[in-house]
Amino acid sequence: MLEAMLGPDKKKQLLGNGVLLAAVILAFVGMCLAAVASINPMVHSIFWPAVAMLFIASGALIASGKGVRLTLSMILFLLGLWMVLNVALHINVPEVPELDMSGLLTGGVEMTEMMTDTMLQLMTAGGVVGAAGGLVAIYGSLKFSGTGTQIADSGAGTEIADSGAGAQETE
Amino acid sequence: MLESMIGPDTTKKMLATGISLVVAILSFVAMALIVIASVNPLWHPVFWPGIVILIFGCASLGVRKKISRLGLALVVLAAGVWTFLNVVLQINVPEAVEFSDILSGDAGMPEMIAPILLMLPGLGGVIGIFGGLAGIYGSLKY
Repeated sequence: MLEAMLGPDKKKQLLGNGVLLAAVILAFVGMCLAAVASINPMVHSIFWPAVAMLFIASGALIASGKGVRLTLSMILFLLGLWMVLNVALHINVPEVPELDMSGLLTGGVEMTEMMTDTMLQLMTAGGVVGAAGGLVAIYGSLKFSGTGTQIADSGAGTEIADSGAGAQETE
Repeated sequence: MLESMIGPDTTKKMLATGISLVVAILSFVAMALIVIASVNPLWHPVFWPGIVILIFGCASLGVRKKISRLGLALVVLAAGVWTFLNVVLQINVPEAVEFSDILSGDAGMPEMIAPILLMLPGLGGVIGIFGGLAGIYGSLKY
């Protein structure tokens, strides 16, 4: 129905923007989860990829070329994967202190350090959501690219649209 | 499609309003995150920029001139950067309170959790920066 109303080009553009908007929303949620957990104390290896994730997803939404969108989507996916792997393999993340209440009482361990374990879970969740956003963006940029080769060879789609409109007029 | 239906001018106006709405929503989220963590005990260097972000973000919905919207977006960006840098560089942050201070009655629970809540103004600052950048993009393009 949408194709008969708008034509195949506009429909593809619309769906492409919709899918990339979903990717931006996922990247935003991923950024929120990861950034809130890694900003105090600052975990650079998680915080900056999380922020970059949001900006790259927004860039993919704004970009119109198929190649640019695909590249940005792949970077988005890799950033999410980087965050997940950092936590899963315990690389570049703070060590989890032993949860000993006496450390807190004597001032040896601060409350923020006590919460490191919980925060690592949030970072992982952020990474997973970001990687999911990257996959969605890759799918969207491959299938519904705004401009590029797909539109050039969409002649069959145009024929279907024309015949659909014709049928409606006859009725 | 939209352009052929309502004309290029109205389309531009509509898209500009849409982006301003996005900026207003982002500034509201940023304000909520910042204010909730800095209102008790009141932490002036972060609390007031949080309010400024909301006021200027929402004001961009009301103005029509391109230059005014750009100016408002720049203020939102600056306030977001200020908040973010305060947290990241640990300038003007509330001091950490030891557990023994709570036991002796020298500090209350809000003072104890203030350093933990720093994460919320930090995130609010990032969202404010993003809102400001979205506003700049919107005011330059539409």
